[in-house]
Amino acid sequence: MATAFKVIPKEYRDSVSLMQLSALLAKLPGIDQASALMATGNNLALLTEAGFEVSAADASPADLLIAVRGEEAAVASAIDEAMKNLTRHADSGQQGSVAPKPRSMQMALAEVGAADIALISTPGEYAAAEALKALNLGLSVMLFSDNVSEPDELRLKRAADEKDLIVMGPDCGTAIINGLPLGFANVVRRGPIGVVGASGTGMQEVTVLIDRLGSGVSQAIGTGGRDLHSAIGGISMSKGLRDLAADPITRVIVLISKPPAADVAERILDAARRVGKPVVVNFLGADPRKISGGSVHGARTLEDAARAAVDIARGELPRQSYGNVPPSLVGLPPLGAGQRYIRGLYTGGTFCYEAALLLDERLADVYTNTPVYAEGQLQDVGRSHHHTLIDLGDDVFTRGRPHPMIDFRLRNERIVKEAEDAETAVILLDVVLGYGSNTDPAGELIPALQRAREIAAEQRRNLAFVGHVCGTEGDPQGLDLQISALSQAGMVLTQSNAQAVRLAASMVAGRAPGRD
Amino acid sequence: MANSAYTDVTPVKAVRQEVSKAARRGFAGIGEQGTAPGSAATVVAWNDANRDPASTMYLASRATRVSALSIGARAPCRFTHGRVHSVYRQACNLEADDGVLLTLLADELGNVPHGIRCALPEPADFRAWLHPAQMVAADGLSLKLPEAAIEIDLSAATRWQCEWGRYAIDVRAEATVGSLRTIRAILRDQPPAGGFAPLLLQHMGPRSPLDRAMRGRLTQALPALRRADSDLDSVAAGRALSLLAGLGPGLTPSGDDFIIGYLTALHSRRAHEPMLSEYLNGLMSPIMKFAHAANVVSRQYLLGALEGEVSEALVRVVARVAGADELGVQESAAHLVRAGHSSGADSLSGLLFGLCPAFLLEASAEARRSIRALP
Repeated sequence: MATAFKVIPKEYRDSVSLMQLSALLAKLPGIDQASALMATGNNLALLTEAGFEVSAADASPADLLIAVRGEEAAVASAIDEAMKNLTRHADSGQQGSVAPKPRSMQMALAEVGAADIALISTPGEYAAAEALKALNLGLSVMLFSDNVSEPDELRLKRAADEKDLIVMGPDCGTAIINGLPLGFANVVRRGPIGVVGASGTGMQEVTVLIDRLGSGVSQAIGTGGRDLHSAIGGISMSKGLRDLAADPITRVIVLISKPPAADVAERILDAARRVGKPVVVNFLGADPRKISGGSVHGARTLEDAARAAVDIARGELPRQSYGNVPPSLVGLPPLGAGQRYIRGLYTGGTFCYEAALLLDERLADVYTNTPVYAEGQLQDVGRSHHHTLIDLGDDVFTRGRPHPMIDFRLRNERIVKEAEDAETAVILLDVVLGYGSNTDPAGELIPALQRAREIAAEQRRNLAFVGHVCGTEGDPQGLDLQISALSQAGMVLTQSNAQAVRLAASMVAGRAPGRD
Repeated sequence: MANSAYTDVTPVKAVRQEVSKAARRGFAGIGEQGTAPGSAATVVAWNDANRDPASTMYLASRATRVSALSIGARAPCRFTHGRVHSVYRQACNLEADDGVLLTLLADELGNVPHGIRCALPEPADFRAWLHPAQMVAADGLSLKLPEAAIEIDLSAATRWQCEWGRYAIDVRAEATVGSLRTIRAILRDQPPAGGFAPLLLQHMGPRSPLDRAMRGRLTQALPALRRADSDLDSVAAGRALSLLAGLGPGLTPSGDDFIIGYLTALHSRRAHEPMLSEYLNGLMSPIMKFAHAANVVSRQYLLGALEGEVSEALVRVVARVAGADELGVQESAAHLVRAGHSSGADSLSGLLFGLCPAFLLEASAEARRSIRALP
């Protein structure tokens, strides 16, 4: 092991930048540890205690100290990378002063010309005001920001409706408008199916599966998770539905949401029956048979919604269900007698929600931090018990750190922790590709899978990793590359989240109590 | 506050006297509110002999005007000329030619003792407007940054100061114990990704040798500080605090933030525990020593905390604990934890420790036991 360090005099970076720089350097090949700290006396001593050989007697507490430890060949290039990173950020700051960016929406609009949508991502307390400005300029809004109050959301959506505009959000992370992915979204081919969704990862799964099934997406319009609450009344979903009904390219419409308020569901379904186009509806947790009727087809899972929409677009009749038969268990690792439970570690909230619904149909004692049912609420999100499904995108985990679709550290730590539990049989995972997500999810995940497997092997156990990759060949990460790397690492991959959950359930069937 | 007062270890009382004298004289730079005459629209010639006053006049007259909402009581009154020191999204540090620091803050960040809270126009991000090394000049009416074409109008700003007399915490009161439990729960359940709080309270082992070394320091320093606090032994407390000063991640290292929280707790306890005043006086010398060994940003906060002048966000937690406002404690502590990367959580940890060390140490021991007990 070698140590390299660099003292940068009077460098004042904010704490988040220092943390990000440390994390970036720690992930470089051959680097064991990295740290970016202010060069105080105690921090110099701390580095020595932690095994760094740093002798920076001339450094002052106003200086930034970057220290890396690792393979001889890697440490010098890591320091170079750190310097490049710091310079890059300084340069980008300078560019701002040479060619000022637009300082208002009016300026941006004057510069761009024909824009008709504003993407707003500011702290929640300002987002409503910004959205209102955009609406007053005649722009529809994608409101990425969260922490916008429900009354503000209602005010904005009513204002938009009066102007025949739409507010996608707040907390709308995914949309595909005229073929352009916005936020966390995948590269899908354009085609005859329009999607309106109150769930980000739900829309990603449906649009990705539509693409993989050979069809395409006209528009994917997000509404924000609260749109179908009684207080909001589904204003954005209704507007999206009307827009897709009027869109000549769209032949089939898909609506996705967690269970809406009953009065809102009734209103939306009523509107769906009158749009004059076939509509596939996946209200997760609702009975699809009660939804189906006329031109509306109810789907139980996200996968079923995508398959039904593609069938309808091809002029075929949709099936009531596409995937209740568990896939084959042949070739899966044998599990020990004490290994009884599934541990689902999700980065996508809707995947976790869907998994909880599907597992709860099949197994007893399913616990989760996603709000599916009160009796299954996990009391301590830090500890799994029985079958546990964790949405790692929950606020509890994301405060002060990037979303787990970007930063894999938290999930990787949890994978290792679950592997240490002798009762863990299957670790259930989602891997989300596309814009906004990590550039190499497989590369991030595989070391944790290997470590988990080693831990299990030391205790003469096998572990099964089951999951699916939500992505397309067009995504920046490359679907084939990701699937191939994960498969080689021993992960069992299915076509969809629903299939992965069913497979996991069938693997532990008979080992733990089932549903009567 | 005059910077020269801090060039050596000067008793705080003397510093106060100097400020009072300066206030009576009137200020060359930023004025105390009410002392600045004239209209805010006045354009004052640039104070730098090397610059062309005419061009400065032109820049100043077309500058974007930003309203200052409030000015902290420790904002440096002699600030007349300096440069932008560092710029972040919600804050910008200005360093006077004599080395004293003045911080501009976005409205939502709340006040700090040495800061000016501004209603920043769109985009509400200092980085979009300012860059390090840009010049800044001040008169009693405004701060001017001609290279950024910004002028901060001070004329309508109110004065902000911690009012400790109103927030006395009785650590033995039943309501206080409930509040401390709430604070501990927030630190445990909503910790930032770095700093002291996750190491002390989370049921998860340290992630790296650096974290392990940091936890080792805490294990050494905090029990010693608890004993010193209980014995009112400021010499031993100084020794324990020296293990924390400048320790850990962040521009203001976690240890400095923890000390700021700890000092805040001592100030808030003084009304019910008069013996603490002597203990606090005994801590002045070591804390000033730490402050002078720290970077200029940490220094400013440490010196402020020594006199009981801390950020509004921290004062708000103290006020809610003192007022036995359970919901208020929850809201203000959660707000503080979200401040900075780990600074808010570290200062809250220091506050919790200073109010009742057992709440932090016993929870920390419980967290450590649970890590050992992992299968």
